Amino acid sequence: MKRIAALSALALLGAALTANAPPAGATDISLESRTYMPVRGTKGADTHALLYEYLNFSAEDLALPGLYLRASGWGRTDLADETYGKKTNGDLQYAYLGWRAPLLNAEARVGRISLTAGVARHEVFDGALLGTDLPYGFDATVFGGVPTETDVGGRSSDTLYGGRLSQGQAGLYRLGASYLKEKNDGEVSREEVGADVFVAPVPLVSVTGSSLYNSIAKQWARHDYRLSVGPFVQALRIAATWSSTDYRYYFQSPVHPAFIPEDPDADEKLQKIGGELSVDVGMGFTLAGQYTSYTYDVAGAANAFSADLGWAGSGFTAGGGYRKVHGDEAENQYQEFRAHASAPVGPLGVSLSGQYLKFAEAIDGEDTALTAALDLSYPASPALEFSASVEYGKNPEYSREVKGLLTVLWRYDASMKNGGTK
Amino acid sequence: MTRSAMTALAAALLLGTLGFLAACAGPKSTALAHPERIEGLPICTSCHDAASAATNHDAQWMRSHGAIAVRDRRTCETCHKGSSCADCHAGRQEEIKPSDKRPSRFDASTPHRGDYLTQHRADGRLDPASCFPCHGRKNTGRCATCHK
Repeated sequence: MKRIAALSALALLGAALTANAPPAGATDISLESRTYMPVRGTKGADTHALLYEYLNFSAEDLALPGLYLRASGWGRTDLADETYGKKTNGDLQYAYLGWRAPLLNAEARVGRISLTAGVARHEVFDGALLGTDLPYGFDATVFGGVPTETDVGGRSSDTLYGGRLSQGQAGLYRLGASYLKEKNDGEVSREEVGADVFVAPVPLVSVTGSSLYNSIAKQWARHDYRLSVGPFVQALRIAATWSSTDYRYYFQSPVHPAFIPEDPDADEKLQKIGGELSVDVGMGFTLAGQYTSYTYDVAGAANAFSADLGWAGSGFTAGGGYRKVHGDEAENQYQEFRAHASAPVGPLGVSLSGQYLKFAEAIDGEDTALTAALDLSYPASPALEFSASVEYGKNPEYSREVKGLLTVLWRYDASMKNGGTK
Repeated sequence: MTRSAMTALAAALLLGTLGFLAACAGPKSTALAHPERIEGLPICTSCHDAASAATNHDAQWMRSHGAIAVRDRRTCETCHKGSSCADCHAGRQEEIKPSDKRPSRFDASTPHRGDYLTQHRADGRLDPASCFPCHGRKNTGRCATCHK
């Protein structure tokens, strides 16, 4: 309750600052409202009609140069049968007050913060963040607070803190080291040290990647690296990827039971090696291909191949793709076919898409799944857009499934006047 | 001196050192916002030199952008608002699939398009690490319907 009160106070402070802000022209304010109404009916089951409202707000240079307030959240209510075990639901995704110094990108944020930096991946916490550029190409970020993710069992005595220090030269290289520690109910549930790298030794060649070390188990948990070459003539780009994941040390303290190994002594490791190619073949056509080899210590091996062809021109798009997964385990093998097309029809944007899945091993007696979707959108103005989608499905879960979605998008975005964000 | 006091002292020293270095440094920071508004998926090298190739939003971008994002907390904010990231990288309990929020964005390879309820059984076994960042410690409301 204290944290909700603190966040509410933060929002009120922002509102007060907005009210006292200098005249328009100094403060950039943007507000976006998205209303979704999905409806789903399945043969012989419940009918779900939900109303979602997503709100995003930002005010830049609020009262003082460099001071800003940003917030985003959503709420939902059921209009028919109960969904996901709750008649209503909602989430404050982020809401923070920040200040950016005139030099060095030095920055401070306080409130509910969403952060990706080094081993911190999409971390959401109620707390504070400090960051700045430093001499000789250094950059530092420190953060701390109460995580939102482990609220199962309460958030009392939950903490999360860490930081990242990096050094580099724009366009040439950047090397980072990061640390994160998280406590749940006062007990250390997660402690990670990470290294991340970007190196572009010669033009059009770059290596990016990261390694994660589980400090509790004192073992490497994951390495993930990518070598990219290009784009060359015809926008040809090639990439090679490698990742190694040790399940025992990577999936530490999961909330989701699917990640808890059935046999904790089975030390499963996955080595993933892949290659990707994409090329602009001209006349609006783009071709992309991907191959991945999966090698497991326990489960055997698998490989996946995919190819996609796309086309775009004068508001029209079309494309299709194929993916095949093959391997030692029949339950993992499937083929996927995809196709889509979109076109302007009068004032409407119309798009059609379809997906067909063929599984090597039947699931609940069915070895195929089919989905077809139609989407219509109508931009009433640059700030207001309506869209409607309908999707038909036949799959192992449902012999017939029909879903509909109505969307209203409205935005007021004064910050667009100088380029800015989207 | 207790351990917590030493930790606080070390943190204060670190922050003080960083602050001192920041105060002494020259203004060589990168721009916080792109100076021009960009429509669609940008190919950075169409205006910038080859050093910008890694951030081209091409057919490989959906698989490569994660490694770029971890390098700097501001990388994505140069052009995107936080809500843009949150559309796919869901917070605690997202209920709408990214592909439902952007049904006509076929170019964005929005995850979980079509019958992913069935497809995720195979994909989750193939590489559960790809699911973990969004569904490992949070955003498990829908998962809990079946995974008790």
